[in-house]
Amino acid sequence: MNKKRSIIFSLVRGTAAILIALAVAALLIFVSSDGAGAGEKLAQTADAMRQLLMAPPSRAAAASA
Amino acid sequence: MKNLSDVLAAMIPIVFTGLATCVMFSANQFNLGAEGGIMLGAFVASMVAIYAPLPPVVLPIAAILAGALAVGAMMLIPAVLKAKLGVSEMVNSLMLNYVVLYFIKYLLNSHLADKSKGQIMSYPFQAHAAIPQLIDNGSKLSWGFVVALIFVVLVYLFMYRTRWGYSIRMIGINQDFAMYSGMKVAAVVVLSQVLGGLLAGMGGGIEVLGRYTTFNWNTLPGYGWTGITVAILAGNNPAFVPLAAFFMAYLNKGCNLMSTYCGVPSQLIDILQAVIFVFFAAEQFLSGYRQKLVVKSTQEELKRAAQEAQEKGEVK
Repeated sequence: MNKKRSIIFSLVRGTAAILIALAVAALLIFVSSDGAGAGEKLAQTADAMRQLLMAPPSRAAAASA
Repeated sequence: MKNLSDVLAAMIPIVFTGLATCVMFSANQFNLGAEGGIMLGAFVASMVAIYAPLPPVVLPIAAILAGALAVGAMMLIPAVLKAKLGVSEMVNSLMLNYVVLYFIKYLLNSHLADKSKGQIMSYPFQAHAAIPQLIDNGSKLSWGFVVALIFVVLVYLFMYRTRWGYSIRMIGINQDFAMYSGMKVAAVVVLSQVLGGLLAGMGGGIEVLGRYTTFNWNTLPGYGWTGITVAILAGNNPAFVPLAAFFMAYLNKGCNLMSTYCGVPSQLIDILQAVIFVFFAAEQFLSGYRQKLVVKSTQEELKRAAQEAQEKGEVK
């Protein structure tokens, strides 16, 4: 396998691992959220994922990492 | 801007532990001592910052160097045991983390704590021991960030442009081949772990002098474990460590926000790290795709070779 293909494979593998990790996180949040129905749970999960992925550049955390 | 600075500030210790882990993992040394190393480095740097009668500028540099040297010396324990007796550096360094933690807790609780405070912490650092802030916007982003980036370049150059770096990588790929080629395997095994220790200790010193005014760490800070994920994400290549560290610091802050605004425990970051770790460590993950790429490459090479042979035949 040439170098270019090797780099592409590493990138695809890394991205896939990260996406799977995020999917697992979303699933856990969905299962553990206290919404009444599936719709409410889904909304809570979407809000949590938005905080995780979109909020860091624009919102201050209560306790910094 | 401040929020982004916070993410960059959180990157600093992760970059150092990531680099430390990269160097050690490149030599196939699964030393997990960066966690205890960053704590010991922070503690020693703090003690120098409190008690050493040194002038400004010299004091933070001396404190950070003292922290780095202390951790370098600490890493000699698993390194020499591995090189001389073949003792597993993974078990050794993992246990050493807790020896370091409880030793520091003992010293802090019994002898070095400021008894006038309501919680266990050291006396405050001398004012001129603090690392200056890089941007004056209320964030904790210090000049340590610049130092971290400089060390990324230095470690990359060391690993890919020097004889020692080549030895480390070669021993990581095939230790027997390296030994029969005449490389000093034992020396390189020790060197890689001591170098990892120096980097982790430096990270601890920079973190504590850049963000705190006293030493009050009562548990392992977790930067060493994150450093392992960073090194794995970066493929043990120091050049990619800042990107991976930024990603982990970003996720860490995202988890804190999620915990604050959505009530999801911030420990979710550990689950994310663990899942990423599992999929990177799994050799067979996407092996079918790799196989397809290998087959495609080989077919293309064969086609090219056949074409060249045909052209040569036509010329004759």
